[in-house]
Amino acid sequence: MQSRQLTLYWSPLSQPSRAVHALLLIADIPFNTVVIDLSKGEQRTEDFKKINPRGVVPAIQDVDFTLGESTAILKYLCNTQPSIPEHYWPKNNEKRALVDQFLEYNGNHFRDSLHAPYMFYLIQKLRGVTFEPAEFENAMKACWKELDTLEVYLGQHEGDFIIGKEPTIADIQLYSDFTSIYYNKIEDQFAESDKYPRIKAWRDKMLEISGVKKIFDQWHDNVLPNINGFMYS
Amino acid sequence: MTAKIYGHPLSIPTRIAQTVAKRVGQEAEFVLVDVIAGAQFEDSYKKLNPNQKIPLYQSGDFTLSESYAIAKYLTDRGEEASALYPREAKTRATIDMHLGVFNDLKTNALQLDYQLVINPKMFKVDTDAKVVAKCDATVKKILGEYEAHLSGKKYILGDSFTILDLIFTLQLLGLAFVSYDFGAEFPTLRKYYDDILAEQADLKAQHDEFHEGLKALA
Repeated sequence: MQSRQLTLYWSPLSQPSRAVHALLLIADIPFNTVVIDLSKGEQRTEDFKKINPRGVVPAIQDVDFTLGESTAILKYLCNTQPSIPEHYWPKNNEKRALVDQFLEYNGNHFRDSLHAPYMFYLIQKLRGVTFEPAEFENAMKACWKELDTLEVYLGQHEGDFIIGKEPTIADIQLYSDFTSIYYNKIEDQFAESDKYPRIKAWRDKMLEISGVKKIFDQWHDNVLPNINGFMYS
Repeated sequence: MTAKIYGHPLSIPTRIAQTVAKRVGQEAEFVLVDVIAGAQFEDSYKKLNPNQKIPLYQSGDFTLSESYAIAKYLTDRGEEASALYPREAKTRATIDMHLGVFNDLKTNALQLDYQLVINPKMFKVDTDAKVVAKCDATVKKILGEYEAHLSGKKYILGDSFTILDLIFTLQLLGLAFVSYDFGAEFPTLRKYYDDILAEQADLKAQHDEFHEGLKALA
């Protein structure tokens, strides 16, 4: 058993932070957590900038090595922690490339579409910037269209997960951003829709992974009510 | 069967995929997707890429989208692999971290391409000033970070040219699409860019081709 000092700097508000935290639980290794309170601007302190000069979460420190950017962290953990099953970041070139494609898709497209609607409310609350109903409606349409795309992607390979029969770090990132449907208050509409059978099956499989479920439950029960209470008041 | 790269000559992500493919000896046949005319929205292309974006790499039954994923995949298969994208865990992680930031630069710069040039010119759609302001701020913030990072450095990782320099140089090239002269505000980036072009023949060729293509668009 390796003895390592690994620390996760994170915020439960941040989807990429929750993804990294979930993978660390899956790794089943000892690690420290430091919550960076974004509402108090703790990401901008000199101390935190020593860990991540960009002043964003998540970030990790592994002994004396510091790293930012959630996708880089997820890959680094898979490359250095033998307890993480290989299917999370496959060694086969083509499978790995497909996982990478979905990590990129999540970071470049899916994440933005899923969080655009509630961001109008959050920015309005934080900075007093108002918005037109049409802007919000367009963002909501784009969010549903993105879910349509995910539904198609989930049908491309045999198996319930994004590239096949086993979960990957792309599934972990996508799932974390998928839960923005709660921030957008469309979880009931989503549940009632008959257009997303694959996403629903995938969501259920993701919640069978105890690390993913633990992070989701903590966020859903403790963080979500406060944030939605704040944003939509 | 030859591999293919679907894309457009004015698309920097397409050029990233093509430049890496050529550099690592994995050249692919170019298939034009006329994104200016909306060809990416046709059913035939949607079947290949449900996300309806370019570039797309195809080799036999294997298809791969997202330019940075294509770049990394080809590099890991090619002969020049280790120098461009070293496998040592911490070096690779540091490269992946920078690529995560470049993704923000890429997506915001692409939004500016659409808002400032493609939408008004091709689709007669008005520019959304709010979107432009947000994307412009993000692009400049990232350029400012690398202006500082590259001070006193030849390459992003210091001593050696890696996939980061290849991609970052092409992202800087792409800013010419909206006629933004990054050198005026960021002299270190200007010097970095000019030095890379003087040293890397394929990137100089990309610069020349892209600028020729922009002239035709004007």
